[in-house]
Amino acid sequence: MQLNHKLAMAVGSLLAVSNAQAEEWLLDSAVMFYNETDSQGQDRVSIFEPVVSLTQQNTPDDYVKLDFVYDSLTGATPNGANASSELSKFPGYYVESGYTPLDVNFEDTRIALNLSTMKPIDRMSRFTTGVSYSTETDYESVGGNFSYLQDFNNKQTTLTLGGAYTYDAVNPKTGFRDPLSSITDTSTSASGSYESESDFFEFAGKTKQTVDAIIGLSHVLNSKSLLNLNYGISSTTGYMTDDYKLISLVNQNGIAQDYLAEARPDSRFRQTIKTTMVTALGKDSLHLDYRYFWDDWDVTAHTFDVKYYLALGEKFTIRPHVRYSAQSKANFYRLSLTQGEALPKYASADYRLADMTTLTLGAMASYQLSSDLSLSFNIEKMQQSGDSSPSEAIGDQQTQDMFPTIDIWTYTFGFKSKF
Amino acid sequence: MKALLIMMGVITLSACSNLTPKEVKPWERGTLARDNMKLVPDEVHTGLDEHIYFSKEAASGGSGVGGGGCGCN
Repeated sequence: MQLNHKLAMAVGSLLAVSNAQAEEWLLDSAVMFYNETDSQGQDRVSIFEPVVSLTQQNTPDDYVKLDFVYDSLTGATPNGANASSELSKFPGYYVESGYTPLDVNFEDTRIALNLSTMKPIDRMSRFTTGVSYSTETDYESVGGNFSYLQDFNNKQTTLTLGGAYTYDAVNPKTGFRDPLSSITDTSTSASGSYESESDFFEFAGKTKQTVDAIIGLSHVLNSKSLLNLNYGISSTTGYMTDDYKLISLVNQNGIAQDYLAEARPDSRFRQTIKTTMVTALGKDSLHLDYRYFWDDWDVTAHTFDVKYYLALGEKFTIRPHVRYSAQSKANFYRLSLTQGEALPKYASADYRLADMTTLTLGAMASYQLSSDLSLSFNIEKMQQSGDSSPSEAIGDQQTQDMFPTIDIWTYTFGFKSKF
Repeated sequence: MKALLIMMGVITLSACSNLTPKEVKPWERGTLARDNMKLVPDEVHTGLDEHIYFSKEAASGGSGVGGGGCGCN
């Protein structure tokens, strides 16, 4: 009788556990405030970005997840032209001497939705699938993805094979400019030799398509450590020119005589290798990432990322974060073009395609209020630096800062709940 | 600074001593099941960070497939 009672209790508690696991809703949300300035004292972009992720989970291998992102961007962003000792005039605004020209009309709102699911196939394999959609005033994107995960070696090793397809359309507020045409030329082009116009989206834009594939191997090394290795490829074809970006056309003294629309290639093939190690140190854990990136625009980048989860008691965690990334410039990146030279086929002065390093330092604090409720606060400072006096600078350009350092602060409040 | 270097040295040595491969039985996975042992423990925070890196750098990707497009890059 007593044994029966104990057995009944054991079965009852097992059922309670499996019921608790049978269906669980997880809410993971955050609000980020982003503020960007440069070393010339100019305020750049500000972003307000709330994110909500809602998961209905039966087991960690069986869930449906919906992510919602709202992005509100305002402020000023570099238009690609160089700082000059003379006043620089652009359509609708001008820039005083000594400052990197910023387009002050930068404003956008983005809404993104992702729906994803993971389902088990059998005890040793499962798959994920997802669809994504995002919309901005001048951009729209739709995509789908699939991945297959197979366990081996008593579940100590997992192979992941994944693929994704994304279809994007852009319709800049400025209209489309002919490649490397003067911005004083008011005729804009709506078509080109390689661009197809979108008939899928509401607005007629130019499109690009991206196919991604990834193969990953994750291995539990021992009871305290795991390793992950990913190799990914990404192929984009279509319109990648940023119609908001210009390039200075300077005379022999380095003074801008005109500004031209930039022009980027219509294909890009990217590859990445990323390794991750996670290891437990007592109740703490250390996360080490290294990624090598290379593409056929001749961009290469080494990225290191270190996070340490320091457990202070049962409820409180502090997570310091250091990230360092160094990239080499794209082969069509130009500080400016010079009058008299034959125009290249492609040219962009977008600083994000230049030789550059990015250093990020951050710290996150999270506090477990109860077993199903936690709060977090993350603060990060990101600094982007490049060559302020590049060798290709001529005349007046040599007296100006060609790459002011960019400082970005982000403050993120997070809220996590189970119900 | 010296204390920081010593601390980093101790962490690195401890991490290296954790790298010996060994078969792991199901009942030895308690530590691996912890939240801070997931490949990405803070998905929402990491997602926000990754989106910034994507929009501010020439390099991107490496972590998986999925996610929406963005006109920011």
